[in-house]
Amino acid sequence: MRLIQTTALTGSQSSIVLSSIPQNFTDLVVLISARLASGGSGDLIVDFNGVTTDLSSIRMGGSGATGGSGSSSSSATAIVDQNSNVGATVFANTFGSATIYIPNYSGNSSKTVSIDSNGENNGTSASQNLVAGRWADTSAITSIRLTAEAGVSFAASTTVSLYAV
Amino acid sequence: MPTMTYTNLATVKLTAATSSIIFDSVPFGFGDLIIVVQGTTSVSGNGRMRLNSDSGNNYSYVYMGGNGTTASSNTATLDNYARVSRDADTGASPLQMNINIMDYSATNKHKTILSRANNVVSGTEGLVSRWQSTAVVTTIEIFASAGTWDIGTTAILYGVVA
Repeated sequence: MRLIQTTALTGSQSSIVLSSIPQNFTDLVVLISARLASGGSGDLIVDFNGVTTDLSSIRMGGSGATGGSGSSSSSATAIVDQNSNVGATVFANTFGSATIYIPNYSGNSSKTVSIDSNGENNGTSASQNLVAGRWADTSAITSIRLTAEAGVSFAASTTVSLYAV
Repeated sequence: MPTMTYTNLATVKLTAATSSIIFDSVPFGFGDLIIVVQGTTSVSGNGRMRLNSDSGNNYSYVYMGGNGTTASSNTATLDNYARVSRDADTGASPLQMNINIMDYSATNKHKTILSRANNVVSGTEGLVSRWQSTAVVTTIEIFASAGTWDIGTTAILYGVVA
């Protein structure tokens, strides 16, 4: 697994774009350590090549209170990892984590996405999500955009690293 | 230059439908194995695995999954296959499985298989299986509970450097 690029925010930012992705590997892995600049927690939104169509996802999550909470389907404009990022009102210096795996990213078939994420608030609350995503586009992935949910930004020290397999 | 820790050991891309995808003569010398599968099946069914052609009742597993409406969990003890996905799917929506076989060459432990399986039609799942054998893994078979893997299905076997 080869490190391609790393972005570490020095200030708040609404989205992070991993661009100019080389096309000579097989799979992509994105590792995220994120905190939101406002609010308690929020969604992580993922899309590719600047395109906001033909995206879908299914999620299941656990809150720590029950063995497994209900799952939900997302809209057709984003792959959504719900409540994965801890926000500004959460325990200080605490960041949520997510891993995104995209196989065959440069191939000419539709793209599948696997996301695992978690967030925790010093024992007050916690969440863990599994997400299945799909971009029904046969284009090779040349960029990945990660966006905090509408009206919220990623906080400084949020870090995203892109690896290629 | 950073060292790549995933070594591509074998790549399968189906040019004809097949009931089983098989990796044999798995090389020794790595720590763990990772198999990434992306594809569809001729009929809906769950993804299964056998190691070293063992079809005996030597596999136990537990899984949890969400189908877009509800979450569920289930378990089985000493079945004749490991579960690596709940529901593969027909049609244009492919199943993605990321499967880890931990310490595959250890001779002092049963083998643990971790799987993340995704299909935006049928759901997202986390599964863990145990193969009740201390044998070194030399052959991996991935098959569906029904039907065949479709043309275009891909499976890549990686060795993770110890």
